[in-house]
Amino acid sequence: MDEPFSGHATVMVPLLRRCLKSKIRNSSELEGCSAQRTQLTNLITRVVQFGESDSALICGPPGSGKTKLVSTVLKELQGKHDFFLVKLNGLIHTDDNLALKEIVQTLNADESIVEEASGSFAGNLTAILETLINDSSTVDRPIVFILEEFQLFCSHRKQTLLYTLMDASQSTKVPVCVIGVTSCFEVTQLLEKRVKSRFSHNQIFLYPPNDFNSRLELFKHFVTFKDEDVDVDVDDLSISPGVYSFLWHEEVQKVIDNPKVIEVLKRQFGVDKNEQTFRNTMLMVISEIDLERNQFLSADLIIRIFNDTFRDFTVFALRGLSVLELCLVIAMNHQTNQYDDEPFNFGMVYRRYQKFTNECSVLVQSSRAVLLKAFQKLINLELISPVNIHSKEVLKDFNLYRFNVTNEQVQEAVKNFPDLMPAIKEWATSVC
Amino acid sequence: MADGSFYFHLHPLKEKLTKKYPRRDNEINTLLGLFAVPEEQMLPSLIVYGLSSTGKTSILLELLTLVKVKHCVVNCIEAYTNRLLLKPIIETFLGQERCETENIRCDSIMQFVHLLKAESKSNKTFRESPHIIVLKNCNKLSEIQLQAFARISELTEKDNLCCIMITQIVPSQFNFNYPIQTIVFPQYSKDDLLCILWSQRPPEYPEEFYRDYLNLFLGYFLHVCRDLKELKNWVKIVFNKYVEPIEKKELKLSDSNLRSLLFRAIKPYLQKITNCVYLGTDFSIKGAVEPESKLGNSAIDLPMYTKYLLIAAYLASFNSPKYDKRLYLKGSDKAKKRAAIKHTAEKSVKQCLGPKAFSLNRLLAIFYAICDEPVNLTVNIYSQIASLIELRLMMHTNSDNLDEPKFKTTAPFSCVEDVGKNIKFDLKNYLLGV
Ligand SMILES: Nc1ncnc2c1ncn2[C@@H]1O[C@H](COP(=O)(O)OP(=O)(O)OP(=O)(O)O)[C@@H](O)[C@H]1O
Ligand SMILES: [Mg+2]
Repeated sequence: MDEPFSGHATVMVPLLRRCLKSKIRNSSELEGCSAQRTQLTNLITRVVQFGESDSALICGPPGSGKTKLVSTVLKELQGKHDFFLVKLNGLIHTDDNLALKEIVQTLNADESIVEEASGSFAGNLTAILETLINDSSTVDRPIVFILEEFQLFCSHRKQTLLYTLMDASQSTKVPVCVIGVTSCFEVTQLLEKRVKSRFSHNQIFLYPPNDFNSRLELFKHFVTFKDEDVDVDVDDLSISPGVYSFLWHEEVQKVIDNPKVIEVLKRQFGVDKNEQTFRNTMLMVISEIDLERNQFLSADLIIRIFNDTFRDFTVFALRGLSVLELCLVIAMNHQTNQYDDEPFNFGMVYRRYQKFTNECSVLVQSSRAVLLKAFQKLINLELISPVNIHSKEVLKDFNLYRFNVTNEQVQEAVKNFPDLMPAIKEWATSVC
Repeated sequence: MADGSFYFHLHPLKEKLTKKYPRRDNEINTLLGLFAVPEEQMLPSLIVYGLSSTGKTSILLELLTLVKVKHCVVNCIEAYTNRLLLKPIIETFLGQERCETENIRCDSIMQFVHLLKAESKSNKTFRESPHIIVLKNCNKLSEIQLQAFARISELTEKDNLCCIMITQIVPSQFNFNYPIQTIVFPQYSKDDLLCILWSQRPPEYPEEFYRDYLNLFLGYFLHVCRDLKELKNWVKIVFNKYVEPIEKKELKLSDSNLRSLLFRAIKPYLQKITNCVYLGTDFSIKGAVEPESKLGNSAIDLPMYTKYLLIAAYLASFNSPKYDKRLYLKGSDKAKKRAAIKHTAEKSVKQCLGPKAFSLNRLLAIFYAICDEPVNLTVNIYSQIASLIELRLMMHTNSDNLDEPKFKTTAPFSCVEDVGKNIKFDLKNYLLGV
């Protein structure tokens, strides 16, 4: 941008990108939710300090900081108290056997117990866990269990693990704290009766931030830097990095003052409160800061990248089809609209297509075999999906499918489809 | 200028990629911005989305190789078990030899996460260098695998681990509960395709000549197909046909109206061939016919009574039994029959819902009704049915009762209609709601 500074900008831009990217990627300190923090701290403290076993559920929509809350509180407590921490995650510990292995490993228990378990595993998980937890020779400290993606544990067979843990949190000698973390608010309804009755019904709710200003502050934090953040070997530079920093922040100020930038930020905040989404988008923004052309941050760049995140990929997919495939989509759209979202099969769609091409003289009708292939392609792209995957219907012409595209998406795609014949456009917009 | 120097590598890199993959400058730029500098932090996960042959996989993999970042590619179609999915990744990241000597196993995501965590703890180079997992056709993964890979960086507590998922399926179909950034590879426009196909032109012909050809070719093909891989294949086949008059010395490149002559010669061929796109083979070249008409042909060769049997089966499949009496009863007057047909005309949708199963008795009843001459082939009839089944014109359906087998026709309307014409039987007169 500015020729006179290009010399040191070439050094500064890479450093700056690195600095800003790691700011965006590394999560910041826990902010807000002090009530929940106190609640959780007190609960765990009671277990690890006074030996009063307990259980709790932490619920909050995705990205509301559940994981952050738990890890902050635990880090703090681990410095003060001595306890075992068993971290389970429904995505990793997909069955009770795996969870048991994890537990045994973290508790440093005798591996032979696991082998015994996997050898003769027939519902005696409970027994094994109980001996483990009650065996003071291995477990001499309180145990804190964290179960991330708690809802997934509910689908384990008979909820044995959950039952054992919840039961332990009520009766064993060793103090036990069971904390479930989930973004599924109805999770207690998934619990079996015997599990539910042993659960303390402590629930800690987290809510996404409602205040746009904190998002704006985060934005500012992500695009600014202090001179000491960027460690430059000053000898390499002909001019002090302060000059570059000054210019950078001048541009940043212009960006923040731009109402259009605020608008796109607000729009994303309105659609998706998850901070991780915002962080991803910001990382994309910084990635675009050109290493070669010494770019500064610009409003245009931010607006472009943020607008990109609102794109409807289904419309994208439709626009990438061939005219023939699009014709099938239009026929499906008419069919679904006319019959109130009833599923359809190839035959019905084919008829509509035939009817259209018969009336429209400019269009050459394609053979049935080619259309069937086009139909198959739409299935592969999951733009339509079979109503019954295990249908006994062996004739593919008659399998029923559901349309995964809305009328608005079809119209949007047709509007901007490259070189589309007017007759097809008309057909797409017509009401039948 | 130790720190500034790495950007100098970027320029030739970008040059090389954009030259090899024309019309993908934006996508290449974005990917380079994200992955070219190993010292920079990466996204936790990323979806690369685009229709088939838009260059997703080849560009991404070439780019990752060029920037020398440690990465591993798994095609999820082949990786149908956890072990097949995870083992290659572990082997790439920890070294294949080590995995063999230490007999490292990896059968579950839990083991996978443990292995990576342990390696991070003990190995500084591993911890500090970026690693990328590339999953092709990620839609083949199970729900849990997908969710786990989306968060693989969080699960393994390794910041500089990124999972890139390549898919042709619209990302909104996946229901991730973790935000993933998506990069789109848009479908090529006509202009893009011209440019790409042009860059791979045969050197023997003048440029102007080939450009004319490409315009003509795309004018016909784009309607049915925009898939570059497919087009690349066809553009060669059609070109060979296009220049045939020249190769045979019937026309010369210097002829004044060469273009229009060649256009005229190739036009019928083009029209025919666009009906074969996607079918894998060029039917017209090999003198073969389309599969469907082939079916019709084999049906035409059937013996007389088998033809009636086929028609009877078709009628039994598509007409509701409650109209049987009115339709087929000998002597029932024509007017009534018409009325019955008309009456049900609005039910034509039924036709589209596919054939219904029918019993052997009903088939025989209809068969005797539509056969004008009295026949007696009960002995033979089973072998006729068997041969129809063998020809895939009819099939058994599951029936609860073993003593009473049920059947369905699988023959398409056009085929049965042709057979009907062949024996002067007007199928439409008997088919309700056509
Ligand atoms: N109160 C907060 N203070 C600081 N950072 C926060 C807070 N809430 C969320 N974040 C940030 O938002 C991002 C997502 O948070 P986190 O992963 O803890 O959410 P989560 O509720 O566990 O989400 P998920 O349901 O996807 O597991 C993290 O980068 C985290 O640092
Ligand atoms: Mg979480």
